[in-house]
Amino acid sequence: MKNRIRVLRAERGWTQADLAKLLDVSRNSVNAIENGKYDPSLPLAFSIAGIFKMRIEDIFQKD
Amino acid sequence: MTRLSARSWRIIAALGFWVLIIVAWTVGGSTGLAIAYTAGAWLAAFSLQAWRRQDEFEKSAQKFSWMFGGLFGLLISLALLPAATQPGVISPLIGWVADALQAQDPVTPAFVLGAAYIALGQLVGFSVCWVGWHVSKR
Repeated sequence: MKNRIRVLRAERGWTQADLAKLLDVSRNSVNAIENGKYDPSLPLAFSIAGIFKMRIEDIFQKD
Repeated sequence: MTRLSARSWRIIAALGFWVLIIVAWTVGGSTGLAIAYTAGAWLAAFSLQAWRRQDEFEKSAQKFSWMFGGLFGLLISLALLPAATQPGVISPLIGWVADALQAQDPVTPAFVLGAAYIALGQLVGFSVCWVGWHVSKR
């Protein structure tokens, strides 16, 4: 699954560690999600969307 | 206390477990056995805390690794059983375990060694899969 997390994070000037702290996950998790190597669960996807104040479908797209 | 990280809970679980096991080994007898069971309970309780504090990424890694690493570790250890049970390999180990347990019969050390062999195979399989999973997700 593709996503725009890296771009959205960069727009806000956040590091992976900053986002990881906001989501209460490890930096490795954020890195794997950004690189499309790990698809987050629905609750985590909702948390990501909530942090960016966007809808899930505006952040994640099917390959 | 629940705010401790998963790593902290793992360290508490492992340190306490091994301290209690060493104490149990030193004390021996029925008291030692009771302490060994306490060590098992300690490990289970604090490992559960560690599991609860992990994020879903790490939980996925561990589920995958126990499923496939544990399974293949078990199968490989069974496949290697003919080599592991060669007299030159198994006899010194059984002797060492029998001495350590102060066992009077030959069955107890053989059983303990068999259980440890399977557990070791699964642990190695888990570790290989866990590292592979994390490398593949970088």
